[in-house]
Amino acid sequence: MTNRNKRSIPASGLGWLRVAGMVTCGIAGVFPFTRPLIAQGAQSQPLGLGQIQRLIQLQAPDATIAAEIRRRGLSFTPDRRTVEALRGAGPETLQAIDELRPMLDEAKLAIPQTLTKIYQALDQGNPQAIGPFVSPEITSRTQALDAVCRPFTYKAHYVETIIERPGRKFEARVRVLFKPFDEKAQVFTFHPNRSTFVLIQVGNDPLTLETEAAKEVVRQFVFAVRAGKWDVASRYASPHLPIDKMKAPEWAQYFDKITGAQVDSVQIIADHGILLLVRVDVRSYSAHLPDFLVDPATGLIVRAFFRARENIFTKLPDPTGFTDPDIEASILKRFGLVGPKEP
Amino acid sequence: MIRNHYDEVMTPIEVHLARAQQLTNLGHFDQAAGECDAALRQDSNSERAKTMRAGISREAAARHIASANQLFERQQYDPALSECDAALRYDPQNADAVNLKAKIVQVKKALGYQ
Repeated sequence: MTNRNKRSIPASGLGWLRVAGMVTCGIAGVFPFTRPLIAQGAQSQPLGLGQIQRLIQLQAPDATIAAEIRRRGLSFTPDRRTVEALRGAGPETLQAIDELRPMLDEAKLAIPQTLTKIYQALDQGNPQAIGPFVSPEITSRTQALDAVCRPFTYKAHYVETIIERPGRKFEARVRVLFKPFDEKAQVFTFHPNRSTFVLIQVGNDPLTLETEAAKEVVRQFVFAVRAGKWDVASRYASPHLPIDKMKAPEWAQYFDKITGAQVDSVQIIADHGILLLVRVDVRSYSAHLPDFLVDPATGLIVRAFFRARENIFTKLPDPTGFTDPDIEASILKRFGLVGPKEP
Repeated sequence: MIRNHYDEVMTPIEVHLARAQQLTNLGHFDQAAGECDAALRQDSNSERAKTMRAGISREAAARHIASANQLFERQQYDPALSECDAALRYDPQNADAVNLKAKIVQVKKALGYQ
C-alpha cells in the first residue's frame, strides 16, 4: 500500500455519505405523490379505445396506462374482442381493462356449470377435482367443504339468482337438496380469475327479501280469512292448502275473534325443505300467536293456523291447523325431481 | 481560515477531486462538477479530472432519467419532464433523456393533458 493510497479518503468513512447520497437522490423518485399532477376537467374524461391504442403505440409504461384507465375509466364498453384490438398492451393494461369489462352475462353462464362440477366432485368425495374452481381457503378445510356438500349426500340443486356485487364479486343464491330430505339455501361468492370463476366464500342465505314478503303474505291472508274472502285468501295460499276446511263453524268462531295481524317473529326452518315459520299476533289483549309456514321459493302459505310445539299459549280449535299435503312434492318439483298432483 | 485536513496532505487537484467524489455520493452533482472544473483550472490536462467530470455528468444524467421514469410510471408527467431536462443539462446529447422526454410529451398529448 503506498502513502498516496493511505491518504485517500477511507471507504468506511464514506459509507454513510453514500447512503445519504442515495437517499437524497432517490427523493424525487420515491416521493409518495398521492395524485397525478395534472389538470382537472375535460382531461379527466374516460379514455377512448383510440387513445389507449396510441399510448401502446408510444410505448407508454404499462403501469401508467393501467393507472390512467383505472382513474379515468373507459368511454367504451370493453369485451373479449377489446383485447384483440389492443395488441402489444402490457399485462397491467389488460388487467385494468378487464376490471371494467361487464361480466354478469358471462357469470350467469359459467357459474351454474362450475357449481355442478363442485357438487358432483364433493358428492363423490373427490375435493381435488374442484381445485381450479375453488379457493385454497375452502379446499384446505374439511368443514368449509362440508358446508358446500358432504360426500354421498347430494340429491339436486338449482340456481335462483346470480348478481354482481362491488369488488368484482358475483353472488349466486342456490337451493340444494341433500339426502334423505334436507334442503339448504346457500349463497356462493365467486371471483373471476382469467377465464373461470373461482368460489371464494360460502354462506347460508338469510332470505331477507323472502322474509319480508312472507310477513305481508301472512298478514293479508289473516285479514282475508277474517273477512271471509276465500278467493283472496287462496291467492296467498299454496294450491293444495285446504281452504275449504277453514269454513267449518268452530274455525268461523275463532276467526271472528281476530282483531289484528301483527307479525311477532319469523324463523327460517329446515324441515323437509326450507320454510319460513311466521308467528302472528292476531289478538292484542292476550297471547294468541298462531303459526304459519311460508315456502320462500313460491312466497305462498303451505301451512296455516297451527301451533308449533313450543307455542303453548295459543289456543286453536285444532292445533294442527291446515296443511298442504303436497309440501314435499312441491319441493321435489322445484328441484325437477317429482311433481305434485294438480289440484 | 479553517482548512480541511485533506488540504494538509493532498495536492490541490486531489483535494478538489476528493471533494467532487464526496459531493457525487451525496447527489450534489452541480457542486461536484464545480470541483472537477476547479481541478481542471489547476491542471487543464488532468486526465483524472476530465474522466471524473464526464463520469459525474453521466451519473447525474442517469439518476435523473431513472427518476423521470419512476415519475412517468406514476403519471407525474410534468415532474418527469423536469427530470429529463435536468438530465439533459448534464448530458445534452443523452439519447435516453431525449427519447424519454419526447415520449412523455407525446403521451401527455395522447391523454389530452396538453
